[in-house]
Amino acid sequence: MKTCVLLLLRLYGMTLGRFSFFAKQLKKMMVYFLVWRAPKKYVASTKYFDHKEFIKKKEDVA
Amino acid sequence: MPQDNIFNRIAISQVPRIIGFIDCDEQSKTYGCCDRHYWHYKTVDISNARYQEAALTLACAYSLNHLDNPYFHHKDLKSLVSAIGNFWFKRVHHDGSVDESYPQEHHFCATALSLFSLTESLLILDEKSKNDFDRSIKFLSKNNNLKVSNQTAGSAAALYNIYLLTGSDIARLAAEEKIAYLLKQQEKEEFFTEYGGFDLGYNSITLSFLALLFKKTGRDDIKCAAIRAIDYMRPFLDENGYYSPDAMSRNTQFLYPYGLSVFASDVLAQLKQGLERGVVLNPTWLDDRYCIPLTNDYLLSSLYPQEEK
Repeated sequence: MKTCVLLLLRLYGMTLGRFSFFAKQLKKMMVYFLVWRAPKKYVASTKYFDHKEFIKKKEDVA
Repeated sequence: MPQDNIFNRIAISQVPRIIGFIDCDEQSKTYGCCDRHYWHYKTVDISNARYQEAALTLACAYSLNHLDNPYFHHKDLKSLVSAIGNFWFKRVHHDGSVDESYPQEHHFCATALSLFSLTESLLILDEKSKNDFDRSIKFLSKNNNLKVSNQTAGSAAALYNIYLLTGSDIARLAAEEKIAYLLKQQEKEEFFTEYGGFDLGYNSITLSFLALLFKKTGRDDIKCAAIRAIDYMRPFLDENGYYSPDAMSRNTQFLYPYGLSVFASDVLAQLKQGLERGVVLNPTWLDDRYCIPLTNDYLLSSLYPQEEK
């Protein structure tokens, strides 16, 4: 995340984001851009070590 | 006494790590906070409420009567569980929600899953909370994330736990409404949808919540729905309980065992084999944020070992 985006997010949260309507709008926007519109959906609990892929790449190199 | 198995070995090995996440200083303003980035490193301005799920880790560790568990009936764990719960209630917003990633987030998932862990830990320890759940009941019953089944299941489990703790019929009815929605949605798809598609990892989380609800309610429709979802999952898993994340709607790699231990011991055996061979994702491979809920699920599998079918 870029610093200016983080600052904007924080400013929004401290001002309009205190009201549930605006908090929900921000949430909807984030889901839209990070999940539905993203070339690859953002999922926090992913991209961990994959043993099968690791072994496969080792064998490909060999 | 639970048998020695890979689940309780891995889970118990994570307990000291997770205790290390917690501010254990009783004099501290952040006593009971489980987010080190907030109370110790001070690199973030809010505490991620999901870390408070460590309450369930400690409650299970306290209760798991196993030879190699040094935390069994350790008195410090009970007071820490209480501190974790008190810290959670200090951070809750006026509408009953909590934040995960940024201030004023009012995050449905974080509220549901962290509240589930806190209430489940109270039930396991057979304790009552002095805190008031009314605002959170209102938040969880008024809000939904219907496209994400694991969050719906988690909120149903949290609400049902609140009903068991407080006798609140509002919480019970809200839980039943969410369960009804889940079961109805599953009639069309056979699996529990995650953002419009099938994700095995998040289905396993949904199954864990359904397993707990099944144990508490005895409802056969929950059991049938769970078995149908597991039958859908089976072809994707290899003999080690591994599956390709690329085929999943949310690209997950994990497999939560508790639901499998209740509904599908054959699939659980596949996962056990994978863990023993060291070839599948487990809590020791995860970052701090996600090792807690998976460890909790491993502990629940150990606390309530599978029944013979």
